[in-house]
Amino acid sequence: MLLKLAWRNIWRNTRRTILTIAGVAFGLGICIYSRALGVGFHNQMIRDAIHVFAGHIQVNALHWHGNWTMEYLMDNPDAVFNAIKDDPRIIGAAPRATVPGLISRKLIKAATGQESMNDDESGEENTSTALITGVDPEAEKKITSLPTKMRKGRYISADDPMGVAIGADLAKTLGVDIGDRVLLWTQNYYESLEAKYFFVRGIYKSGSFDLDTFYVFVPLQTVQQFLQLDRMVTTVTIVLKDSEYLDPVTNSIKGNLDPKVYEVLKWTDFKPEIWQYVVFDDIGGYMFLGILMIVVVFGILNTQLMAVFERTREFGAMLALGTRPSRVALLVFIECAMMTAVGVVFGNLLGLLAAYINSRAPIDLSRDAAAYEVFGIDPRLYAAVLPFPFVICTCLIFSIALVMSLWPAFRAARYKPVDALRHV
Amino acid sequence: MWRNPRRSGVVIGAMAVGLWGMLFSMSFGNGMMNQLLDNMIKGFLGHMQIHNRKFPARAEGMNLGARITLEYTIPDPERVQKIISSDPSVKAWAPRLKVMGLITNAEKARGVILTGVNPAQEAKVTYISKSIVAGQYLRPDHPRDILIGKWLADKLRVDVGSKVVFMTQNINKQKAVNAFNVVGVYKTSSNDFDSGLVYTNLGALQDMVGMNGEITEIVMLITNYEERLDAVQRNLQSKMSPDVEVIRWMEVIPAIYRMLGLVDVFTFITFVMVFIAMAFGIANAVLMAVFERIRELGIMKALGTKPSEVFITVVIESLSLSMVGILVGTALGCGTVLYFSRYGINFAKFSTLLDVMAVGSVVYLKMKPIYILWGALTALLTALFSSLWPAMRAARLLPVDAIRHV
Amino acid sequence: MRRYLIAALTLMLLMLIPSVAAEDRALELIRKMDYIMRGVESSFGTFTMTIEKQRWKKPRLIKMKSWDKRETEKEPAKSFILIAEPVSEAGKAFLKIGNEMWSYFPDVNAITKIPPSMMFQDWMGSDFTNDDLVRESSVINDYTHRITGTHKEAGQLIDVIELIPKPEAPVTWGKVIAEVRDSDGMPVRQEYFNDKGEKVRTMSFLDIRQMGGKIIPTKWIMKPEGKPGDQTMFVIDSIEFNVKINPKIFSMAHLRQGGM
Repeated sequence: MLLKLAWRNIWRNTRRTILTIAGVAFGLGICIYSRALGVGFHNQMIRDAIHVFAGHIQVNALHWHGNWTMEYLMDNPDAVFNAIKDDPRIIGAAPRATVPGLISRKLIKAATGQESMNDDESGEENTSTALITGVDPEAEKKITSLPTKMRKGRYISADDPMGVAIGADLAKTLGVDIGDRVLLWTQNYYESLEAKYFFVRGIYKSGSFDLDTFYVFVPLQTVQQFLQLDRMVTTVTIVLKDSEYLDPVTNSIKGNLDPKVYEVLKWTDFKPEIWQYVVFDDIGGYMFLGILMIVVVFGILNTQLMAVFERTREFGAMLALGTRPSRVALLVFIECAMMTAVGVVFGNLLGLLAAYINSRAPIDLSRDAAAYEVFGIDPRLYAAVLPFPFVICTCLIFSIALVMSLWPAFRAARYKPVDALRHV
Repeated sequence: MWRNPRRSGVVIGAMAVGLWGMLFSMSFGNGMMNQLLDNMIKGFLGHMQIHNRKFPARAEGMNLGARITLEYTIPDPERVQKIISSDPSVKAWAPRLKVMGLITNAEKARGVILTGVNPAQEAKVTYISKSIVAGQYLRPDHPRDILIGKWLADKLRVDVGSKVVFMTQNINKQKAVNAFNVVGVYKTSSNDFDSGLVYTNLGALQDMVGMNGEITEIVMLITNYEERLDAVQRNLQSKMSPDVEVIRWMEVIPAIYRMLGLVDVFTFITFVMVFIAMAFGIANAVLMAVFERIRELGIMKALGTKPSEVFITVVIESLSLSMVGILVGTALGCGTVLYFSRYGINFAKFSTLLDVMAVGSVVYLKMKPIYILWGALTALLTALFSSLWPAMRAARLLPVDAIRHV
Repeated sequence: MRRYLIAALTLMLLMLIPSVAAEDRALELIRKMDYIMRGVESSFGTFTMTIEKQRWKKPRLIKMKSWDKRETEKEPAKSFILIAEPVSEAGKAFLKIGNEMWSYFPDVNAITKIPPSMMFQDWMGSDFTNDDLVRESSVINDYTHRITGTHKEAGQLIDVIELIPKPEAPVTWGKVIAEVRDSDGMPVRQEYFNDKGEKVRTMSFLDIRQMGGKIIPTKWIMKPEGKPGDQTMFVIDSIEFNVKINPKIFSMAHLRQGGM
């Protein structure tokens, strides 16, 4: 009964009601969108890092991560491959052998075929620290996107054992181009110095500082041979079909491998800087959400109060006619609740619309493309269409709005009929 | 307008809260990024630097020490120092000599950059002297003092008092080796920094590499640097000989500068979003306020006020309310921002990770005066536009309808 | 009165003498030891280094030839090392002049200067560091020496000498304890400690024989502390001292020829 009355009441003053509902709707919509954008941005960053090279999960010999020395190698990647066999949640796994070393430029003057004179005593001019990484090109192509980011030349391949791929920044520091010869220095399995010539086949630009400045990709077999590693590798990198499988798959792998021999790490462990940034940005995002909510809720409260005051005479009449104050309060409360509810529905729709549009058509900030390149951030911002922002914003605003409705409700109830009726 | 304080209050309230929200959120974002920048500047960059023109001072990407070399020291350093000491825009300056080498102890070795500094002068330009977590800062008359970062200290397993040996090459490519004692350990919010940079007395380093009196760079802090940087650069450069180069911090690590540009973009997006939320609040309030007075306005018309006058009255009243709202909002916004600019918001409880991000776990807000302008302007315009429709309605009212309105 | 003075002074001097003498004795022994280990103008020898590491399936044997010339007033120290075995390392050659080092690897077929950062690595994967081989520091000048005890070993009297590096010396050890034969300063054992007082490694000297005109330990064993199963054994197969070495040996050309 009261419900029907409340409903009719709100529609008696269409304009006011629409305004209130619109206030709620747009307010909520903005809150939802801001979170959707934030989450979208993070997902993108994470996706970029994981799918370009890092992977979701990394398995290495115990203690290798953090030390990166020959002391901690995996005899072979088979145990890991067995541990993940046939798991439908995994897109694929790739074995890698990463060793720290140096890379320096060795030019051959094409015309005469002679080495350039000062190479005999080459100083540190064109030498750079390098992370020499032996990879299986086919496995990498299946699970990561770095092979597609070649700016010049092509990615490495198993039938070109002496061909390497390096990042654009490294190429620039060394002053090398496609076809140039480089010398790679490192320590072999027995920790003696080894050096070998390679040829630059491809130059890539990933946007990741580390990848572009330090990594040198070599076919895995070549690295294993040249460093006398046999079938040993340093890591096996695994990419999942969806990041929600991260914990379950990690636990499953841990269960299948001897923890005294192997270490299974999630990307949050071996790429903490991204995780840190996400947390950092989330904090900022929630801070912002909080502020937005204050603004929105205040707006809602404002209009509810105003509405009540506007109807003073009406309430006075009701009270005079014998309606109990508590019922008046309840009536007002229900009215507010209804308007809020309608507003919430529309708010969700608006938020959904905004997020959806933005997930298809990005906010394009490419004008300042150079800045983004340094950080590897894609200049196009996408929003994520995920339930989380919707649910949380809706719940928060709905509950706050309801609580706020109590104030006008009480005010309405406390009118003295005589004063109220006389109100203009 | 003041006849109905409640009604006015609502409009003012809507504007005030909206403005506050805008100022606060924009200042927060801006503050975070500024802190990052400030940490870097006060950590090691300075506002401006002076080098030999041939010295490779510009970093690539985010690389801190692209190329450190002993060739190309500052020519005629005394003259340069005299010029900057006598220039009032230079708040403080510090000379440095930097070399790359290996720091070793009994068990481990690591590549680092050793910077020879004048402790007193350096303390006025960078934060390093304030970042000591163990032991103490460099002592001027102790040539064997060395200051290392916490990350490095942990990796090498050294403490205050430990002996370390530093090896590098001197100008003739001969090995230069020297023993140092760890006098203190520092910690900044950047692990990269802590692991790679090591400090000792300028004189000690000069002796070690046989380059007495020579320096490779001078770092300076400029008064009012935000506005006057370009002017000061031009001024100083004109006084220097052509083989001396004066550059601004953004030329040393352009990446940070570009990052600031990013921040402005994000701040703008923040602005737009808060604006939408605020606009609805204001529009709602104004619309309701006016419509509530329909009766009153109707009576005015009945009494002979011309439609245009009614229109103008409404608009003006809305505007005046807005002004008050803007004032209150700005005051509120500025007040809270100022408070948090001084005391900061401590996020340490939520994440220890912030520390590693070179921002630190306490964020200080920072406002740009232009935010106030944007905020006020948009709030005003919103109020203005929101009042137009009801004003027109009011103007065209038939008095009879108005009076009958309940 | 004067007589008392003289007596007192003499007494004081006599009291000083033992401690001075003790220090002198320590220094004397160290000098002898240093002479045995390094006191030659030049040398040419063949060596076998056997490296064992717990994680390797079998020990690794490296055979090499080495020419060494000590630093003179006019020229820096020079050395040339050519690796003969194992097959995977055969043909690698290293030339060191002063503080710079160049290498020749057969695969690479060119001379490359070794960057300083690589020079500090454990030499050839052994437990010796480049610094050991190069001997930046002087065991005589960079340390203070003190005999802390004696004992008998295999019928011989052994002095235990504690060497503490001087503060300004470029030495990273906190302390070195050298045990030498009292009779001739022949080194028996050396223990190296970091500046926290923890032992880091022990070097033993065995197979004392005459070779190349000197009596020297021909087998050196380096054992790192805390790594059971790891050790490096360095054996001098043959050696000649103070030979005249053709200066062309220490040249790029020689390096380029792969030591041939």
